[in-house]
Amino acid sequence: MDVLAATLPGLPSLAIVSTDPDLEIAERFRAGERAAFDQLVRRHQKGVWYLVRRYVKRDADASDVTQQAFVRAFRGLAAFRGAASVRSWLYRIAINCALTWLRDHRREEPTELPEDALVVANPAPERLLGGERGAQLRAAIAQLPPKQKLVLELRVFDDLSFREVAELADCSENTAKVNFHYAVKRLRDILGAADAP
Amino acid sequence: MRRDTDELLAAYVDGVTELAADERRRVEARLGDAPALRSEAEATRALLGELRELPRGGEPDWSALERSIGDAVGTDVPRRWRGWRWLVPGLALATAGAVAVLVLHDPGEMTTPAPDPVIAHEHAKPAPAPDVVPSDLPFWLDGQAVEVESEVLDAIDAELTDDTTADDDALLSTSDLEWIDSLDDADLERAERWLDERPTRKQRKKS
Repeated sequence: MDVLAATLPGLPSLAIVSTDPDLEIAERFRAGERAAFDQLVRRHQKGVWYLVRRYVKRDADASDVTQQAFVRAFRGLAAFRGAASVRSWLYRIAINCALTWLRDHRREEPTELPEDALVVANPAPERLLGGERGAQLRAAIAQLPPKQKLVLELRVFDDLSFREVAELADCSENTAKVNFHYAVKRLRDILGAADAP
Repeated sequence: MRRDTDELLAAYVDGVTELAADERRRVEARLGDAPALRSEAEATRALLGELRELPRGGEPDWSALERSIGDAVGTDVPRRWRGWRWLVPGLALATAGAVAVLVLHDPGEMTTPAPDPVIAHEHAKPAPAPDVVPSDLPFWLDGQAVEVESEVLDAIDAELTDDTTADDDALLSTSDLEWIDSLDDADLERAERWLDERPTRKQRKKS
């Protein structure tokens, strides 16, 4: 259990208790409760699917890869040690499955295999905010360096904590925060240059 | 330090509770001192809001996806492999058994049979000369060739090599010549005749 003493601006000091409910579910699964895994699927299938969907082009492929990821998680959950959060562990499996899928389908979709494993092939959602503004945001995200783009997407689109982002991006939590800062700063610079007459 | 603090601005704006207490205090101190940083924080907050407003696009039938996952994984919960718990006791038992076998086993039976002789494919070396001394070997004494029996030669060799097993009685002493007095007339006559008939040095060189 992590206890973070947080002081919000304009608010009195308060203690925020952060727990990982997935750990309790995983423990029940290890104890032999099969239904606990169904609960895990319901909690994370959307997040996994959207994460995978940024790597593959078609919704149907994203569903296949999501299924593969959960099958792997089902086999490995009994040995999960809890060094990372269940969600980041699950997302890591999903990213690996997506990269494997891209490698296996390289000939079908040659442009989808990233040079860097951290590069997301199809990062931005299809329909974007406000048409033109959405297109600007999408173009700006595409110009980010791979690490900054990954950190920004995991944080903004997948709602991961910086600790989970760090686990997935294979860096320290502080590095994830710094990368996030420079990703936002660079996006603002790109968008500011685009807005300039 | 100031740069390190500014690099935490976006994290502060997006997740203040995820900063350590000292990090949070440093960022807030900077925000109080730098109006430009405050406006940057507001711009960051607005941009992150825009990004989160981006629609996610299409989505699958979640119920169908859940069912397909459930069908794929099956109903049996895989058990964690716990064989390692028996690894150490098993190894200890096997080691003890091996030691017991080595201790109780008759070492005579453990000797391996001699390997078959290896046939060397090489030319046979010439046999050494036989260590046999001919009985009529000429012996030189004071520049004179004398006939000495092989037993006497063996005794001389033994003395020269300090071989204590040699028969000392077979050797005529060269320092004590009293043995000459034991010769009878016939022996002396034979010796004188031998000396008269001995080849001279010139004759020996010619031969």
